[in-house]
Amino acid sequence: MEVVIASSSVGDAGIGCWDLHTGAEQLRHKSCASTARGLTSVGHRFLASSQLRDPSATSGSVFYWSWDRPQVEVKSFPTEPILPLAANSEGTYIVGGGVSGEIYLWEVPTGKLLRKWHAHYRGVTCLVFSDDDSLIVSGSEDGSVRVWSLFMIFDDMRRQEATHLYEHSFTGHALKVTDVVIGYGGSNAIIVSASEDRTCKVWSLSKGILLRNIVFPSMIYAIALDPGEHVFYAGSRDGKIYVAALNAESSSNDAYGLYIIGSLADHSKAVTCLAYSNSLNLLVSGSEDGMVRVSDPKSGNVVRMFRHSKGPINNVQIVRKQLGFNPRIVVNPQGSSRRHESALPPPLEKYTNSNDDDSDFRTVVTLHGASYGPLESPRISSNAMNEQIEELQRQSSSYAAEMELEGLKVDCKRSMQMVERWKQMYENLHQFCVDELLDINQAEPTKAGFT
Amino acid sequence: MAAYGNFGNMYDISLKPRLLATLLREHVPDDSRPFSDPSELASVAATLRVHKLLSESVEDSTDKKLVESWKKAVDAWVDRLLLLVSSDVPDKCWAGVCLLGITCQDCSSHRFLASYSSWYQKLHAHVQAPGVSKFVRVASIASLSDLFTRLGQFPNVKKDGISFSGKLIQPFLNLLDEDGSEALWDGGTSMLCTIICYFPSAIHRHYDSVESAIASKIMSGKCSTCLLKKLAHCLSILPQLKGDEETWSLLMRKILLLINSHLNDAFQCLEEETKSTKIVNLLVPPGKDPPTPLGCRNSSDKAAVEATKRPKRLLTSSVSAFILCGCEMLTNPYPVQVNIPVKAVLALIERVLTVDGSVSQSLLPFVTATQQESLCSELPMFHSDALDLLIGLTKGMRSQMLPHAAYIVRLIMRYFKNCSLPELRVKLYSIIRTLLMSMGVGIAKFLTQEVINNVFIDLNPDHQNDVAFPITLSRANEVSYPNRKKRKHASAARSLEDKNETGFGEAPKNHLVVPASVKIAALEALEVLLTVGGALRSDSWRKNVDTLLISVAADSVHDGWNIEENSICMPNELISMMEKLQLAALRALLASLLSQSHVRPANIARGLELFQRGRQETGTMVAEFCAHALLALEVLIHPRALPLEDYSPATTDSFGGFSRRFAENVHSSGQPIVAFSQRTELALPDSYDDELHSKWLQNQEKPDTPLDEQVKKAKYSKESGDSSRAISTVKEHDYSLDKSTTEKSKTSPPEVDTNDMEMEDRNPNIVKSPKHGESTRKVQEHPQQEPVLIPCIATASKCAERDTKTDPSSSGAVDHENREDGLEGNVVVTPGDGISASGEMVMLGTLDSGKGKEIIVNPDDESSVDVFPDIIDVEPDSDEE
Repeated sequence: MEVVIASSSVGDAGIGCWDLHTGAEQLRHKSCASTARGLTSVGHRFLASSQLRDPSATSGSVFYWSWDRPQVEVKSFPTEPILPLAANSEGTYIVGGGVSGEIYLWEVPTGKLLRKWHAHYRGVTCLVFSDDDSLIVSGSEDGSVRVWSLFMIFDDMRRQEATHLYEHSFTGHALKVTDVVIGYGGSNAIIVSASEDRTCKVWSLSKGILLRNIVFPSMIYAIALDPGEHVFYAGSRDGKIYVAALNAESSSNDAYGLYIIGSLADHSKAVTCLAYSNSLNLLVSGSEDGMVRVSDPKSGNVVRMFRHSKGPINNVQIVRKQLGFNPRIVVNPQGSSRRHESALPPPLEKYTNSNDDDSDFRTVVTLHGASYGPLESPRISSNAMNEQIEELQRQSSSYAAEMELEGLKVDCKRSMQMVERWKQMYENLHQFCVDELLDINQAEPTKAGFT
Repeated sequence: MAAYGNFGNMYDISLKPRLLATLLREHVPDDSRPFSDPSELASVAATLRVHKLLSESVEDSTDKKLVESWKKAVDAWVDRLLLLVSSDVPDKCWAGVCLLGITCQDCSSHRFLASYSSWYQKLHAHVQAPGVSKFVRVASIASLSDLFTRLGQFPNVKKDGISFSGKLIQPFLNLLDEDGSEALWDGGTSMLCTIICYFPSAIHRHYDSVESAIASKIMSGKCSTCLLKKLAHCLSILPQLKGDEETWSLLMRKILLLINSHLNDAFQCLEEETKSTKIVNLLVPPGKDPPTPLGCRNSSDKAAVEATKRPKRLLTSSVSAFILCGCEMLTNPYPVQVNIPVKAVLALIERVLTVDGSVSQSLLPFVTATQQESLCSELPMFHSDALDLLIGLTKGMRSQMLPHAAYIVRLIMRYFKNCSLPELRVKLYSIIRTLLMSMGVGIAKFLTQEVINNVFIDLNPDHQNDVAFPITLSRANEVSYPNRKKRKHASAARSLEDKNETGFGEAPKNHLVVPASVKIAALEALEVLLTVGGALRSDSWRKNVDTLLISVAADSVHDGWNIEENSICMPNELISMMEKLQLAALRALLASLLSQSHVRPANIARGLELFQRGRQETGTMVAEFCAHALLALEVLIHPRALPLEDYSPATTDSFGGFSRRFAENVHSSGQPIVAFSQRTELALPDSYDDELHSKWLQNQEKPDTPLDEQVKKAKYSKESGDSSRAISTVKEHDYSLDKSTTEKSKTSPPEVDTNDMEMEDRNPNIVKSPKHGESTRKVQEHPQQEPVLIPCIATASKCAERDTKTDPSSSGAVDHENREDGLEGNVVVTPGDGISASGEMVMLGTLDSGKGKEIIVNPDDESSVDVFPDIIDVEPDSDEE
């Protein structure tokens, strides 16, 4: 089931959840005052969101919700307030960006804080994983966009040798980066970043250069890529969603400026977040007026509207919900009751574990493998039969010999019986003849003498 | 028809009862008839399967008579089998048991449910009764396995299944324990696997005894490799009985400890003692007792086992089996999350891989040469197993391997430098592939240099003088490849042949020839590298790799595509190996052509030619792949940016499609969407939505708008007006189209055919137009037009000539194709302008030639690399030859 999830900075609204096909509202998860870009689904299994806290709080907080319960199930408190939050597609890692510019990387199944590194000079504002989950792209308040390779992050030796950890550092934006997206194509992907300086910039991952700079009439708060990367959509502060050209042609006399080929669905207030549904080809946008609008990018019409809250929405996501996430299909009944409540992983830890001697006892992995059943049941008996037939034909193996021996034994037994029978018959006949002869002799001696 | 008992055809249901009766009458033994030829049974089984004689599934169940007759036939069949099973003649009994097993699988569910328990009793009698021939016993076990498999598919009879299978477990464990024959053990193992899969609760309380029985069987050293594999599989699925985390982890730890302790014996005096204890420490939490060793039921008889088994070392094959079991545990799905002792596994792998059989100076006095020799003979096996375990671990951990990726990469690279056994190199390449695939772009950057160095070592020998290789390793010099002069022009095939020739003068050196399997693995690794990270920091290494790949691909097909034809005397394996090599080379070549992002691939022309030729080898894997490659490259040649609009149905009917689209445009004209289709070619039904087409239309205006290299994606003219201009003058339209076709013929002579096809598809009305044929004929009738058309092609084919000069075999063909393509291009175009006569065509041709020249001297072309492949920039092609 494909659902839209939305959260706002106002705590009492919680996380709204709507079925994109039918428009029906699902269970609303309670008490979530999320930060911008701070809502994510972890491997489609459960929801995680970093929380806005009052400025005096020194620690941050990240909450988990499972799909089927409204209340917060797991609470973690990282060392500092976390702004953006992202998970890889498998749901094994969560990264969070701190207000100080640190990026934290946790392993989800154990909650271990695996790595923490100073990524930006000021707060991290957005974080995304690349399509193969091997890179992280982060944007910051200082206007820089950086690309990190997880491999490098984990390699202590290379870290010490290298002058910098990042793969690319793009420093084109003058003001805070508000959103970053990365497209398809592995090493040939493009990165699009939006900023409060009213520009969006398109970067090349492979070359590490700026490909295109697009100046908008207003600040851009959110971007979403067309799956074909023909255009991208930019949600702006003036309530418009601009359509900007990537592969599409654009002409210099466009109404809004170079490369901007149109605009969609006027919101009354600023558009703060965007998401694109690949299966239905719909664009979902959240606005400061508390509404989630679903529009058809082809016609530009709004197809659905969901009311979320009075306060501003700051996250929308499209998630393919895995209903009944419960991988604990325990075969025996004993284990099931004990396992049931621990459907969600443990909370995220505050500190990295310096002595990693014991860490080996906590590497929790879900084994996937090929879980489909056999298409055809194995034909054990016919296989065995064929093997045996072969052996019989070779007539060399001990079985074959044994089998033959058994057969011969039976034959022999039967022959013996036959012999016995014949013998018996012969005996009988003999006796009969003798008796007959004797009788005849006694009765008609003359006749016998005659014959 | 029915009167004579005839039936419709071979699909007729009424055939089946008859056929079954005949089989029963003539081929299945009975009491009186002796059973002579066992192979008859196989043909009976095959007939049963093919015609589904036992299924009793009648689609049209109204024909009561038919249903009844089939039922009767199957009844008779089953009765006969039961009779045979109870026969005291072993071969008849055996036949009955075998056929009953097949019946268990193939009969209708109704019949199965009605009679499974009686069948079970019959078969079960043979399993346990004393005096039964082993042959019958093996067959009974196999048939019982099938019975349980079938039973497992009916949830409502689960109880019976559990109670039946529960009775069998103890006998089977005894069977594994006692001295029997391989076939019996094999059957017993399959049976255990079946029960574990379908009736886990039956075997649940026997868990420990099953585990120890299987483990001690593996350790006994009396089993064949095949049986060992089966046993390992059985052991690996055993934890699923309980399905909890502890069971899995415990078994894993037990296996690792067992392997580790065996390595202690094997590597005695060859390494420091600390390594072993380190692994044990990783596996056993401090302050806890180590688990009971595998193969012991409880700790009390541990000591006894220790005493008896200690002196006897485990056989290497048993260790392999345990490692295989570990691999399967890591890669099979498991219902709950598990705790994989990653560090211990990695330490174990490293421990094995660092031992190379050399003895350190300090330990030299303690090791005899014999000891060293025996170890060295087994080491490759150990290494291979360790690499298997690493592959399994990488597969099982997926993304969670990342924290350990750097460690693995370092380990692998260190090992790669010294590894020269082909089997091990193949495995190393396969690990690299797995790593690259699972960790993507992020790891590619760091692996690139190492992979390339090694690939060049394995692929280069014939081409050393062509390219400057970035080899810095000393090994490159150590491995001297023999017969270099002789094989300068030899193909991979020859080198294979060389390998097989032994006993000649150079034979002693021949083992240094890189075997095809290693080449294939190297090519596959390179393919993945290019796929994942082909565009990353590519300037430094791409050129050499591309050159290498094109020459390897060309070489692999040098001897002709049709391997079967010109190598009748070659053994079969060699042929399939060559095919694999060809395939691997072509796959890597495709990846190299496609992954290039910033410049035009230098070898595209030669690559296309290779694929084109390969496609003609109908019926081979190579041909299939070449067709795929051509499809993929077509997108490279005609890049398209597809807007989000519905258009697919319109392609089929020209007028309907047109009108629908027209309406849609009108409808949406008030919406912002118009922005998408500003260049609405309403008057041009044949050019809807086709980016390529419109690009070409706009192309002629291109020189007016200088392009920014960096923003190359927007390389098309921004004047929406120009398309309308193109529309207004039909002639101009043709003109541009014409140009486009000539462009194509220039850049990629062989590809043009398909393009033209594509165009025709897009212009259905043109294809249908009777004028098409007419104009074609006209062209054919006026061969004097050809000289007029030549200029536009001649200039274009200059670059091709360079190619053809060097490749004399195909020069004629290419040239010829060029001309034809040019002609065809014009033919397609002419109908567009309605009543065009040949005269106009001549004019078009001349116009064209001028345009073509202009394009070639146009300096702006460099910036339009992406619009259509650059024509001038063809040098790389020529200087590599």
